[in-house]
Parts: sequence; C-alpha cells; structure tokens
Amino acid sequence: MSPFTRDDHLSDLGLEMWVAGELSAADEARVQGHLSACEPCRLRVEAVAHTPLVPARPTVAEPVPANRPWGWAALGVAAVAAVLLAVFLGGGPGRVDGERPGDGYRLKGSGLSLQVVRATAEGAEPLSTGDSIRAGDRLGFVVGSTRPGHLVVLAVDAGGQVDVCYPPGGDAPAAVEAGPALPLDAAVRADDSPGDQRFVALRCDQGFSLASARAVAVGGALPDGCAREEVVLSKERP
Amino acid sequence: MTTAALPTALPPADELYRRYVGVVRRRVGRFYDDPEAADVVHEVFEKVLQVGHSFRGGSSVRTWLYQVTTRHCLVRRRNARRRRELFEAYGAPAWSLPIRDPSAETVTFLNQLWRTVDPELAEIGVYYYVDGMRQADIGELLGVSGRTISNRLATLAEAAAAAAKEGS
Repeated sequence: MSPFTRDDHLSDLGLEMWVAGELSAADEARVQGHLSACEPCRLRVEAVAHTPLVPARPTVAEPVPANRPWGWAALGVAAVAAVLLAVFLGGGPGRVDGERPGDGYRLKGSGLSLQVVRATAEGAEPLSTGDSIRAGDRLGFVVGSTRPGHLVVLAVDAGGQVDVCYPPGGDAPAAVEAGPALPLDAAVRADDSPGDQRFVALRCDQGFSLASARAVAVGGALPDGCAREEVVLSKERP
Repeated sequence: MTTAALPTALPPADELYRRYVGVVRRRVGRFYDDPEAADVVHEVFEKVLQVGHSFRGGSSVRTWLYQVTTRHCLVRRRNARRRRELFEAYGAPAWSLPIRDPSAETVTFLNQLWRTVDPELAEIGVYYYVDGMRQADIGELLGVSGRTISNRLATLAEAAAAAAKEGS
C-alpha cells in the first residue's frame, strides 16, 4: 500500500504509518524525501504531534501488581494517569521544557524529555533535578518525544540497583508515539532507601532489551538511534 | 507498506487505547469537530470492544482501526440528523476539508451523495474523494481488488451524474 495520495502527497493513513514507524524502508525514504520538499505535508506531520489526547476513562487502565521486589510499588495507575492528563492537557504547572503543550513542540537535542510528577492532594507537582522526595511519595512520569519508538523508564538508586518503572510489569520496552507530553500509565512509590534517586528514560527507534537499557542507565554507551534523559531527585531522610 | 510482522490479535484494551488513541482521534477529526469529536473517539473504542473479535490480523492494528473509525463516523453521520444543529453551531465539519483540493465530484460527494448511496460505496467515496487514496490502496485496505474499486467508483460517478441532473 502506498503512503501517498493520487497527487503524490502523504495520505492520512500513510502519515499515521510513517509516524508510527510502520513503513518499509523504501517507503520511509520516499516519505522523507517528500517531506523535505513539501511544506503542507510537513505541517500535517507537526499537527500529528499536537493532536490533543482524549482523557482516559478509568476502566481503561488495568491495575498492576503491587508487590515489586525492588521496593517501588506500582499503585493507583489510573488515578495518577488521570491527574497527569488533567495537569498537562489542562495547561497546569507541568510542561515539557517549559513549553505549554499547545504552544510548540520543541525538545532538547536528544528529542526526548522526562518529567517526574509527584501526586499531591491538589493534583500533581512536577519535580526537577535537585528536588527532594520522601519515602511514600507517589510519583508518575510524563515523556515528550519527537519520534515514535520504544521506551523504558528506569529507577537507579544510590547503591546502583536498577528497577523498571515503565512499562509496569513489562519485560520489554513499550511502544511510544511522538508527542510533546505523554503521561505514562505507571506510578511508583518512593521507598526509604537512602541517597539520590535517578530516573532514566530511554527511547530507541528500534526495539531493545531491558538488559541493554539497564546498562545504559548505569553509564553504558548509548546505542545508535537511542535518546536518554534523566531526572535526579534527592531522598530526604525519614 | 508494513515491514513488521502483522499481529494476529488485538492487544488488551488498555494498551490498545494508549497506543492508538492518537490515530483514532485524528481520524475522527476528519468527520467531527470538537467538542463532539471527543465523544466519538470513546464511541469508537467501545465499538472496538464489540467488534474486536473480527480482527483477523490481515492488516496492521492501525490500518484496521482506521477502517473501523471511518465506518463508525459514516454511520453516525448518516443516522444523526439532529447533528445539523451542531453543524450550524460549530461551523463546517472537518471532513468538508479534504486533504486534496476538492474537485467538483468531491464537492458533490460531500454535500449529498454519501447520504444516498449504500454504506460500502460511501466508505469507498471517503477514501477516494476525501483521503485522495489510490484505487489499488483502497482495494488493499478493504480486501478487494483494485478492479472492484474501479467498478464501484464508476457506480459512484453515475450516481453523481444523476444527482447533478436532478439538481439542474
């Protein structure tokens, strides 16, 4: 199936397939060539990144097992995801690189951003590197990505222990679409282990193993076609 | 067009929603403006829960959802005359803005023809006139030959000519 219309522009379905990385290598190259020369189609691609999401219904998200061996318990996934959606789509305090979601779609050079958000009684509080968390804090994640691909979010404690936060319960990276602020269906609770807590997001164009992601999280080389972002939070003593 | 192995079953509902709400939202946007579009998106996913068993893995999930969403929007528009009030309140529906410069046949199709032809023909008309897809690609999407699509489009053209004659 061609990704082009009869007059050689990108079709709606072709555009969706391209954004999702589902085109053949040959079609991918043709689309890239077309986009370099066709501004209307480029604008349509940008519009895809700005598509407002639809607030999730509570029944859509399934709870994940609470007993994790690594001391971070997944909890309240649907509730936290709903809060994140409300905060980010409603123009709340949490934004990617300081941008309002509707105002632009510019990420840092890596094309990936990671925002850690703490659930509060009032909603959600975005956290930046250097901020403090306490044992028991409920945390969620929002990523921005200029490209679709495969994503994991890992937690690395001061002792070098690496745990998977997203996908919850997953044994492989999850597919992710391009978007400026994508709330992840994952929530964790901070444990009482001492020291800094690093959260590392890794997105690659192609699928990859969790083993290689863990290696990157502790300082390993970043593979080609991958982007990495991290947030480092301080753990307050109980 | 697809290089990845095609799935044989739909993913679980939560994953399906998370991964594909964007493509459904954009497709619905061809037919409905906000605020109605948000409702239609949820209707599509409810519909998917009902008809998901019909997914045979002959296409990618994205392509299948594209088709399910198109059909749902067409049926919904056809069955909802009351939405003329919304049309008047919120202006022209998004699908009156096809991705190509509209031809006279496209205008005829959008203004009146899609309401009177059978659902399958209306769907083919959307792919051809609104989406600008090629006949072979429409055939691949619907699982029929390009020749069949050509014949159906000829039927559509005859209906358009008849409609124009009635209008003159």
